[in-house]
Parts: sequence; C-alpha cells; structure tokens
Amino acid sequence: MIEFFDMGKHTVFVYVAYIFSIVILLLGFLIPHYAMKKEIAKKNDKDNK
Amino acid sequence: MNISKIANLKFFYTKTRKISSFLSAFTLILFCIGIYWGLFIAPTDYLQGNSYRIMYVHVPAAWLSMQTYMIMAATGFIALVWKIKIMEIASIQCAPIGAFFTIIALVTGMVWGKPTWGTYWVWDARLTSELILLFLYIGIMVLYSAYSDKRQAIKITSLLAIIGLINIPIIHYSVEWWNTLHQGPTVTKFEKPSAHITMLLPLLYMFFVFNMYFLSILIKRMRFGIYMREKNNKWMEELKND
Repeated sequence: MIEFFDMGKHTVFVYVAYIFSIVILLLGFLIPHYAMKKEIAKKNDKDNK
Repeated sequence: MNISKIANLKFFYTKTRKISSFLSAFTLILFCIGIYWGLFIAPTDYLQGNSYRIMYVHVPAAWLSMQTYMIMAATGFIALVWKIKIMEIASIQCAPIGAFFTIIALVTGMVWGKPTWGTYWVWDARLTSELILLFLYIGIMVLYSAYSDKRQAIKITSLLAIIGLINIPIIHYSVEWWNTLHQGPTVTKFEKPSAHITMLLPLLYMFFVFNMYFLSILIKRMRFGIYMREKNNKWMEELKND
C-alpha cells in the first residue's frame, strides 16, 4: 500500500501540490455554498421578526 | 430556448438550482478519476521522474486562470455595452474563481519548481505575469466591494478587466518572447506536442474536468449573486413561499 503511494524522492512535492489544489478547489465550492445559506437564514430571521 | 429567456434573472435562478447540484457531483466524480489517472496510471517521466505529475493540476489551473479572465472581460464588455444584468453578475463572479485558479497555478508551479529548477520562485516573465494576473483579480474584487452602488461598481471593474486583457497574451507568449526558466509550450503545438500521448491524454482530461468545475462554480456563484441582488424583490419572496 505504501509502495502504491510512494513517488520516490519527489513524493512530498507531488502530494503537497495535489492536496493544496484539492483544498483550494473545495474552498471554491464551499465558500459560495455556505455564504448563500447564511444569507438566506439571515433574510428569513429578518422576515420572521 | 432563446437567449433573452436565459438572461432573465428569475428564469436563470430557478432553472439552475438542480443543474448546479448535479454538475458539482458529476465534477467530483470526474475529478477523482483524473487524480487517480494522473497520480497512478500515467507513466513516469524519464527525466523528471514523478514530479512531472504536478502538471496535471498545474497546467489546467494555469489555462483556466487565463480562460476565466477572458470570460470575465468578455461578459464585462457585454455588461458595459448592453447593460445586461446577468452578464454583470457573471463578470464579477468570475473574479474569485479565476483568483483561485491562479493561486493553484502559482503554488503548484512553485512546488514543481523546487525539484526541477532548484528554487521555488524566480522573477521570470511567465511567473511574474501570472502573479500580475492574481493582482488583477484581487484588484477587481476589492474595487467591486468598495462601491455600495453595485451597478456603478460593475462598470469600473469591467473597464479594469478589459484593460487587464493585455496581460493574457503576455502570459501566453512570455516563454517565447523572453528567455525564461519556465519551459516552452507543450500542448499548444498541435502539429507535434512535446508530451507523449499517454501523458497528454490525462492532461486534456483534467483540462475538461477543470472546465466542468469552472462551470459548476460559476453557476453556483451566479445564483448567489442573483440572490444578493434580488432578495428583496417580489419574485424572490414568492419563490421562498413556494
């Protein structure tokens, strides 16, 4: 299993690049998703008052 | 379906709700396949070893950083000339997406640069012009948020986006115009690409996946932009009560 993930002496660089990209792409999805949810909840609270 | 119908904010907001969720899920599946292909199936490079695999996230991100900017400028131009609301929203919502792609391109490029060039950063033409692209995206977002009148803001940001277009050919041709550490074009030489087909196919696949990601996030962000602009309008209230 470890051999499967091993990229030799460049393992760290390859995985850092991929993990960083995944984190940023995930943020790109989550930020507008939760921003919209927050705004809808805020508007509903305001309307209920 | 005619274009004027799609340009209608209410129509776009209601019709893209399910499309957005479906596209996001579909992109996630495609992305997982692409990651596996790039990391474990594509062959090892005889010169760079495995570090070249960074290409499968770095190159599509760099392409998309430029493509997103061109879309932002084009939609900004349409918004400026024909004052179409949906284009105004599309233009400004492209900025954060493009900034994210540029950050990925810069950081993965730095990580790739260390084992390949022996340094994380050099002030050469390609890297510097890509950094300027990031500053343009940030500048556009800051400028937009500085205005309380968002329709006025979009006029200014569209103008800046159009002026900043000059940077796109500079990024693309920088490796040909100047002596840089960055390698020359690999894929755009269509008659004879430098990369072998077994390495090229996953790259083109990842380019497609990044485009799908762009589309799904743009729709998501545009829905958010429409909500923020129209949340006090009657049709949005009616939609909430449905």
